[in-house]
Amino acid sequence: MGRYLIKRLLWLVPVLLGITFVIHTVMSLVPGDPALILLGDTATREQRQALRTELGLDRPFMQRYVTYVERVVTGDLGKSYRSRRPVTTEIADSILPTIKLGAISLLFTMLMGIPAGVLSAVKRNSWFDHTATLLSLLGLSMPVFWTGLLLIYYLAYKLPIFPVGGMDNGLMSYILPGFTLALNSVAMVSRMTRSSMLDVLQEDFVRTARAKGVPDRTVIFRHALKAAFVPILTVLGLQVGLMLGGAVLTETVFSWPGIGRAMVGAIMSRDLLMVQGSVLVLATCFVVVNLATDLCYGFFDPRIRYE
Amino acid sequence: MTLSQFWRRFRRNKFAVAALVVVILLLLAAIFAPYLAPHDPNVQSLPDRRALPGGKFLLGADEFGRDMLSRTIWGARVALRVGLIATGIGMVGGVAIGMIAGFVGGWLDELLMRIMDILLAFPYLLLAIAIVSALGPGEVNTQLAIAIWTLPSFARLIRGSVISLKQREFVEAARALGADTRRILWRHVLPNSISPIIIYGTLYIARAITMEAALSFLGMGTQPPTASWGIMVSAGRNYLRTAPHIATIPGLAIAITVLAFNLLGDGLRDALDPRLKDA
Repeated sequence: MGRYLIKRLLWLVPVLLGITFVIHTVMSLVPGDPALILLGDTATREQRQALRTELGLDRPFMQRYVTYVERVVTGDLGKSYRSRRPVTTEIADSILPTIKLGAISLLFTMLMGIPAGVLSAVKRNSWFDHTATLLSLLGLSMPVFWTGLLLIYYLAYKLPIFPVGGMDNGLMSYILPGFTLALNSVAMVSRMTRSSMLDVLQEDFVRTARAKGVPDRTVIFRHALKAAFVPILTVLGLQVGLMLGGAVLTETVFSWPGIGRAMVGAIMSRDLLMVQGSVLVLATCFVVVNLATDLCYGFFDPRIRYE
Repeated sequence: MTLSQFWRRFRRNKFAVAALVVVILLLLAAIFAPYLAPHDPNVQSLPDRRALPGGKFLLGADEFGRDMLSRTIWGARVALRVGLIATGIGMVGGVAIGMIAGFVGGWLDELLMRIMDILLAFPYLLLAIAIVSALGPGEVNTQLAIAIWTLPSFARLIRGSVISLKQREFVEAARALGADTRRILWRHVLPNSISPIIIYGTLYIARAITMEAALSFLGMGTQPPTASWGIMVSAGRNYLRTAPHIATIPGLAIAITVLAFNLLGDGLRDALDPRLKDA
């Protein structure tokens, strides 16, 4: 386990280097003069030249990349052109609401997706199974931002139960955005739970447990679900990626003060360093979460040995 | 599998058949939009601003008094154009990369697949957002961004399929008969990988359409006044309380279109290659 962990942690280095390289390449595609874009047209020629030297825009691509990585490693993501504050400060201020929203919707995903999938598998081809399958396809097909607007229309305007947006109303303000962000994931998790459970329920140990008189509920939740959990966990890990990206949409719809909304604002004002920094931070979160997911496999399936 | 065998299996899934009909109707709507739309989608009629459905405009009018029905029909054009082109580019690129990686193997395989892994390490939407924010908004850049996003999935899929085909006897036989790599890839490997390509392609059209709508909703995709469903929903957001039809109608169009492609993809999978159940 120790060696495996070290190997996986070391593997993060090339992945993160790759991510920074992709971001660096994409950002070097910006047409026109980045100094002009970053400083705005009110800046003097000298200011622009100073920034160009500071960012190393007058140097070749690979040299610039090395400088960029050096700065990232030391925690310097540049300054936001809009607020003139360091990008790291901007991100630190807005990431917590996003994490909270993500946690709530991950909770929704598990509480709805897993039981729905288990029930679908146990009652295969029943009306519940068919309804759940159709609903999950519908959940996969509805655009997140539209679902959010529908929920606002019905549950905040027509029936004023929930706030329209923001996060000032305690737990109530989490429900609609959390559910919106979870919807796609609920669909995927329930589909995966269903198919994984169907595989496991045919196995001998489930039959043995039933034969020796273990109550149905225990067989399903203690024996089968645990054995079926590894693929479910993989999908759950991937949902975090979907949520980090989906947060951009959900936060826009619900005026949620998170990193996603900050990013949209940054893009609109061509605040490129802020965009670059946010994408980097979110991608890093995703990579780390996936690593953590992989490390959890052994807990659910002791047959998995880490080499 | 012959075409009639395929059709017999496909026909059994009623949802998939219905989805196929919807997709065909959508394609027809997109192609014949200029003839089908009752009004010019971009002509503003200020007295009819935010007119509710019914009356002069069947589906009401938007915030500039433009006919919602006509704009929704024209929006099908943008959605399908972006969906098909972006998926097409991603598919061709991904298939090429996957075939090379899978067939050549060795360090090239390792390198190409690690690059694909890195592209997959970006959370949903964010790579596309980064690309569009660098290149600037617009339909072509949106297509490019979505294509790059779909690329690694196709590459992985095809690589897996090539690796398993490479060891099959008929490929070995072809090689023994003196076929070169290019011929083996084109004549033997590609035709045998066509089912998963078609299935993934259909499912990715659905995802590409969602993504175009999302980028346009955020103001980074297709630009106004072009009738894109995403832009329409975004505009309707400001009038949700008084004129909810502006946001709901195009959103419904997205949902129906995406659902149709998803159901069609599922149906194709069940008919062509049931082993791909978790795709």
